[in-house]
Amino acid sequence: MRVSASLITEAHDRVRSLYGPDLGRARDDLSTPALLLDLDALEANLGIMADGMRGVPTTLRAHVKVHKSPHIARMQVEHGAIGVGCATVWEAIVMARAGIDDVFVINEVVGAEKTRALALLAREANVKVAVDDAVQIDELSRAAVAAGSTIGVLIDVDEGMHRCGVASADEALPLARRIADAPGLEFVGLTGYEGHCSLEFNELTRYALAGTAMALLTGIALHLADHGLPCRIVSAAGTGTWEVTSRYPGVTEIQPGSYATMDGHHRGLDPRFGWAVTVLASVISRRADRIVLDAGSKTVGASHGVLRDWNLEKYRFDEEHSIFLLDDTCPLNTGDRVEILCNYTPFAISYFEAYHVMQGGRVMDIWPVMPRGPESRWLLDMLERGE
Amino acid sequence: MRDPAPIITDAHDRVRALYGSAIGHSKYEVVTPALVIDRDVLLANLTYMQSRLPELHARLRGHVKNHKSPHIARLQLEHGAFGICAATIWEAIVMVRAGADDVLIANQLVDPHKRRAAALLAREANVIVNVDDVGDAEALSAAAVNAGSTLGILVEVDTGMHRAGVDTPAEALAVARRVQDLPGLRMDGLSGYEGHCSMEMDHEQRHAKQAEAMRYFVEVADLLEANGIPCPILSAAGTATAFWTGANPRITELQLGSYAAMDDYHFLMEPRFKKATSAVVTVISRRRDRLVLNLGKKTFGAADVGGIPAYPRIVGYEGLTPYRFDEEHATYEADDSCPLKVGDVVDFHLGYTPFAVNYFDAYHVVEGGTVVDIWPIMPRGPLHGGLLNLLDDR
Repeated sequence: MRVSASLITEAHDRVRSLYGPDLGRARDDLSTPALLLDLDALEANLGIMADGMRGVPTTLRAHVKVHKSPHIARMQVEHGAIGVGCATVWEAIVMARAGIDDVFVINEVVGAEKTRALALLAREANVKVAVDDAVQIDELSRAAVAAGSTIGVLIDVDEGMHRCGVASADEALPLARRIADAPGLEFVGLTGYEGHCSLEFNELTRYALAGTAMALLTGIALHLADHGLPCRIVSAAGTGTWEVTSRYPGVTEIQPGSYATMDGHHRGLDPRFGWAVTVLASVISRRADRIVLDAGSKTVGASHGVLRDWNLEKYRFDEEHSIFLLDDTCPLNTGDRVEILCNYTPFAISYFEAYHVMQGGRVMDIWPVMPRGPESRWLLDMLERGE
Repeated sequence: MRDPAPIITDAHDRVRALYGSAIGHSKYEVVTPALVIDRDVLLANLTYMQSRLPELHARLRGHVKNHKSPHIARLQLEHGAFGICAATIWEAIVMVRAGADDVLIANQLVDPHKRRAAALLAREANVIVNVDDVGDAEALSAAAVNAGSTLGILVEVDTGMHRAGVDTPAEALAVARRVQDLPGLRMDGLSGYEGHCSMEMDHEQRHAKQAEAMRYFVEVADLLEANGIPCPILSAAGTATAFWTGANPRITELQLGSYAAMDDYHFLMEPRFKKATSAVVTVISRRRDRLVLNLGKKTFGAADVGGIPAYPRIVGYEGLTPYRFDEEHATYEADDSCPLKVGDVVDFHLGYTPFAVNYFDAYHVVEGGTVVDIWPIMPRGPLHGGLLNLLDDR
């Protein structure tokens, strides 16, 4: 792994400067809301995944869209990940500049600026992308030729999630041939996230669904190989299916991400991984039958959450407030701090600018969230300026 | 109105540097997803609201939490608003530096860092804060004394929304008396946003709930005034109740915000204001039975508000049924009769704009379909982003 570029170190310096007074502070002395990262819990999660992948014939590609943290991504590589998976081109640029050589945008990339960004990034890192349409292949090829780079391409397979992706070998084969023939592109293999399995909480049903999905994915890979287009990479899995999919014959790598930070949804799927990210909030109003916190759906996101250490029923999440029901026996009062355990942490993370990294109950560092928000065209400008 | 301070002009320069290459181009040529505001529709909304003010008893305090834009806040002030309403102290700091000189934080601060920031901000503008707790009032008093400033206080009354706010008139009286006695605080009146009415889609039901909420609110004010505590400010209303609450002769100011930028959710209740905000997105995958757009719940937030559907719709294709919204994707059912294909860029009406606004860096300001400016979103996200340090450094 290369050292982090100035893009990353400057962002780190910036958030340490903005939130520097918080360094060394105890949890309850922080301004709220704050995004807390429990460093020991994070390391424990990364260790569980590393142990689980030891001796397994597949490799681990850590998805970063859940945490958007160059620092966590580097730790994932230090714990055995061969590279990262990203949802956007902008995440890929950030992670390549964080020193990670193998970056895979596990998503369809459409639009001239974004394909150009990908092609420029491929000059400095091993860049891969998913496709499911000839239009995307042609656009990527033109961009790669113009940039003088080579982009690795994997065909996205719809394994039952019904989002992007081709649904059959017959659809995949002409796309694979087109990629193989396209200048500037390298046909690398197949990718197929069995995300529908992560909505199934019964483990046996989930594993059966994953098996069906992998049979489709690896079957398409065999079909392509029979036609002279072998798949070097067959990539799949999320945190809900990492263990069973990592052991499925014909799969070469898994792409989970939530295992690092975790949330309520994924704890329901795999409780071996613990809470590494929570949202710290303050009680700003105490009524007879409820408390009001200063973190609502603009902070924790649409899927809300529950309170750590307090078994209180949710009343409502508003934009800037969450409200929990209680009675006289609950001692929580105005000014008290509580931690929200998000049902789905990526929403919260995407709103925040930085993590407060906690160890032993105190802030030991501030880490930037990068890239923030949906639009990051400036990262393309940076590549075009040759910086 | 004062000129915007450097933190505003610097932010404007920054986003123009980052995204300004889109200026002069069609909105369909920008890098997607992008947040778009139609300047003409925005101005029409502001002008309509201004035209209704003379018939209303109450004055307009423009809420900013739904747009988080210093530029839109200034336009609100130029179109009849006398002051600004904010949900957080960080929004208040930004809007004061944008030129507003009267700002209500219609929320409890509680956190000592935020109390200090409010007290410091009160040195440069009229700052008013909601309170529903004696302990909080005492801590605000200490912060104001420490900063050598005066904070205006509104006692927040729960008028039926069941969020913050005192539960009974007697409790309001007790808190108000304490506020009156505390140094550094000025007892300004009551705050009573009837937000539960904005979750009632039925027009008659909403009106009935609004009337009951304001009847109770005025009853609380009567009790305070009968006990020698004047309430020069009675602040309430959202976009869905503004014209009813504004016509109540006892209400002195309205704190609505969505009227400016609007969204589908508020349009259902108040169609006199038009949708000025949208996103432009790209079709990134086209299957036989569906299409996938490159914008999901990480960007537009929830697909419903309190159980009321507020999901995004593709302009011109409003009939398409959503299949599922994921983090980074929106998937709609679409058969062969739908001509949309990979690479098409479409307009997307966001169901509930504040979530999306909270996530983007900037607005692409559009006139007649062409990008004419880039406006920053400030403050972004839940953290203070250095605003706390900015006041301390002064």
